[in-house]
Amino acid sequence: MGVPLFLTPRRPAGAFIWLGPEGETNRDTVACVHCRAHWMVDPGSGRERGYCLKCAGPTCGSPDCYQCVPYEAMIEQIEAQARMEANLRAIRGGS
Amino acid sequence: MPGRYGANGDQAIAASPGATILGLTAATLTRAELLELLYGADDTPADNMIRVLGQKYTAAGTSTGVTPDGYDDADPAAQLSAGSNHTVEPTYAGVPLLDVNVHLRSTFIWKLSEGQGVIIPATAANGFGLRALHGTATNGVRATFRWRE
Repeated sequence: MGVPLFLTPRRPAGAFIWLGPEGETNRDTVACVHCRAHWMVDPGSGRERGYCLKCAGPTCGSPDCYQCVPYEAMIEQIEAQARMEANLRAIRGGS
Repeated sequence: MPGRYGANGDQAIAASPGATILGLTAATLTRAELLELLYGADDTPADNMIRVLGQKYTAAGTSTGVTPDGYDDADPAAQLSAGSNHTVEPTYAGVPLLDVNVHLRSTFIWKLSEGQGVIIPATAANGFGLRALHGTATNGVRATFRWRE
């Protein structure tokens, strides 16, 4: 049996698939544009999600994702912070 | 073209905060994108719903090393390292990127579209881990990650 249209996002970011004794359940997922968390569309769940107008995509609703920091930028910040800490360790003479 | 790699891990389910089945830890100069995750029971399954959490970490913990295998033999060895059966849990940070309940009699697959996958930053000790938790169940479970780097 197919999945009803109201449970399917227009631009899926992935899929959850359950393979059990009673068959296969397959649901498309939506991804947060700020943290890349994936979830299934579930109308009426009561979960508050959001939408970022700058990134033009859904957000997961976590307070960490209220502020617009695109996912790629967040990854670059983590890498830059690690490089800076390594440089500081080298300046201080640590390993 | 980035290479594609896979690694498997196993663990026994534990009470909250759970036990990490498989962790994928970054290399300093290489980013990776997680593209697929498989999870299922490893022994006789019982009627329990297991909470499965996938989350990033900033310290890798202690685990048994698993050698990632490339899907193309022409690719060089994987730069990222995988660890299974953690005895010291990684230091998880941020919101869980995957939070689902899976019956022990089911196998769960998470497929991520390319460009929408979880990116592991090129920062030492950072990574992504999958853990399973339940109040009473202690069944064995297995997981597989597939990624590109």
